[in-house]
Amino acid sequence: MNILQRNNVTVSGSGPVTMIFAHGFGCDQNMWRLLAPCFAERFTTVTFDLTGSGRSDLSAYDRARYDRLEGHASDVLAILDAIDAGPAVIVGHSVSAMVGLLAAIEQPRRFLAQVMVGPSACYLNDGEYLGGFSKADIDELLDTMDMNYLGWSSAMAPTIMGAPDRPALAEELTNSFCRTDPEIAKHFARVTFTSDYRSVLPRSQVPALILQCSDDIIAPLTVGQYMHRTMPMSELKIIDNVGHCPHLSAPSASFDAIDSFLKRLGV
Amino acid sequence: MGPPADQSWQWEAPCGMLITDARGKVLRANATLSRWLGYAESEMAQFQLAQLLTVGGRLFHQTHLAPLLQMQGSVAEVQLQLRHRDGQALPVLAAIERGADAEGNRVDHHAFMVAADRRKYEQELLGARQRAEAALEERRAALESLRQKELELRKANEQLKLIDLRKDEFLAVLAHELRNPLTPMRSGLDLLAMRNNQDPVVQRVLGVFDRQVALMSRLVEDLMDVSRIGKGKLQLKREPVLVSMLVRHAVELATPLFSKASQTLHVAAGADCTLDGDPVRLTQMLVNLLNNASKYTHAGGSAWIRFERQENEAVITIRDTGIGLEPERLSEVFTLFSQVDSATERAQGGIGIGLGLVKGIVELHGGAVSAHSAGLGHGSEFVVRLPVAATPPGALTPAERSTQSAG
Repeated sequence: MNILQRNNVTVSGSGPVTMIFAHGFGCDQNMWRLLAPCFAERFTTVTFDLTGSGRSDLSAYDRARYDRLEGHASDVLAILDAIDAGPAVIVGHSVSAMVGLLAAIEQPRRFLAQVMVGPSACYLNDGEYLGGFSKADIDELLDTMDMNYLGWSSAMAPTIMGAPDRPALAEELTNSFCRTDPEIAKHFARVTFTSDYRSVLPRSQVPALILQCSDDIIAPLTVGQYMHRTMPMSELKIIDNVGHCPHLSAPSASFDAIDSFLKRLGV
Repeated sequence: MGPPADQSWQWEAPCGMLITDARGKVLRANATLSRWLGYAESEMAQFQLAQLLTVGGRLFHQTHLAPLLQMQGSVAEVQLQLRHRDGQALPVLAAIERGADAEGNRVDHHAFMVAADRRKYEQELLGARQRAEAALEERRAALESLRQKELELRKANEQLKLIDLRKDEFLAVLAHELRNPLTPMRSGLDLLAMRNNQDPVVQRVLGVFDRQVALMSRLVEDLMDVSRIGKGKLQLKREPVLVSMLVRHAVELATPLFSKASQTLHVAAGADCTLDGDPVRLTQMLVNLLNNASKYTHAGGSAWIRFERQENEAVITIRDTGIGLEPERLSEVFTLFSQVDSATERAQGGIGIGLGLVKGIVELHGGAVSAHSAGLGHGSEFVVRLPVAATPPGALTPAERSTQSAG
């Protein structure tokens, strides 16, 4: 199976610059349904499902490969290769903001810019660093993963598609969510919430926009500020929004922030 | 804080109820929810919703519920965990609806039901799914392994067929090549015989050569015939032929062998009938069976050849008092080269072609041959069944006419 099928890659829009959107934990590329189309006029837009999520090929989920986010970062680069993309902008949400960062560190010349929506380099409080979670919190969170699998996997599906008029599509999507292997979800949660990529932040050479919600318990402001301080060529933009998914809950503000950032860069 | 009079029923409801503003600040909580979480109703207004959730609950609320509410205005039947004042987690099912208060400000109405069994239910559901998937996987693996085995078997069969084909080709070439030197040898022997040399030594050597060349020629001919049958190239020259005639000719040809071994060959004639067959090949087939009977019977023993008609079949039986056959050998004696593995039998001058040729010729005539024996030392019996020719009544032989009138 080639990578485009394996990661359920969708290419739309048109433009010399490719904008690739990487979704966060617990969902799939449908999370970009409100934001990505806004860029389709100027950019070639690419959405995909992380290996192990959504409608990707679950059998391709190799625990050793995806035990670190570098595995997903390689996938992003491979997808760009496969579609023969030119210069690219990577937009990553939550855990995928770090996936995008790793990809941009690996091949800096490939990327014109990176947009990090609600990123966190480390979720765990560590001395003066305030990641937002204690060790006990993370343990409890991972435990919740165990007990709320159905909630995680299926609650989002029908509505995310916004498809009351296309029940078959919603059902298909629900089924694909339900097919998500709970063991993969747990493994991915562990990899996500126990990751610590603070040490790689200074190596970033690609202009970065850190898009932060004003009230986000998953990636608190302290995290955004820390990342902005540590990453060269980064900007921090705070959107007045409660939550962790501004691309869904505040798509216009998110679009404006990203668009003006890219225009400032001349992209 | 107190509920409006017209909503008092809600505040006594058997479910937890909560109203928050757009930023998640608790505006009201009913008595039931306050009691579940260990707070007085008046205390609840100091909290943000996030503070009443566990960490996992907060994460789920932010990554899933909040976007859902944003997009569709309500969510239902979602599992969350609330946090009791003492730190204990309270699993609940939540239904949330987005609305507006009297001033038009956005508010979220939450209803919670305790759902302690949900985890068990989920675990059971997941367990069942995993078991079903494991069973499916096992089945898939078994099918795949079966498919692989079939594939291997098919390959092995094809290889065997190829080997068989090459063997047949080799034997055909070998037989052909062996026949070439035999012809001048036979001519040379005939020339020497005509010289009328009276030297007893020469006479004896010539006799030996004569017999051995004859034996070799027969083996080579048999080998060629077997090869022709295998390739479907043995052409029958069919004509109406009486069974009695076939038997008579075969007996004539085999008699010297029996005489030499001081064996007695008995012929028992039953009802005669006509076959549509190649007399030369059918005779060859019977001679082979008779030779076989003589070869495996001790000196002074006996053999019988009997023919009769049974309905639409001519049945020819050749029986002997020879060494007999082990029961497990009965089914394989007609297999080509089946004797090659037995040194004793090879010593008898056979390479396992004779009976294979018999079977080939009989089957070419649409018949069947079978072997019977009561075991080693009890003699053998070979039964050949051949279809009777569909001869029109006017063409019946005298023998057949007499059989019919007798019937």
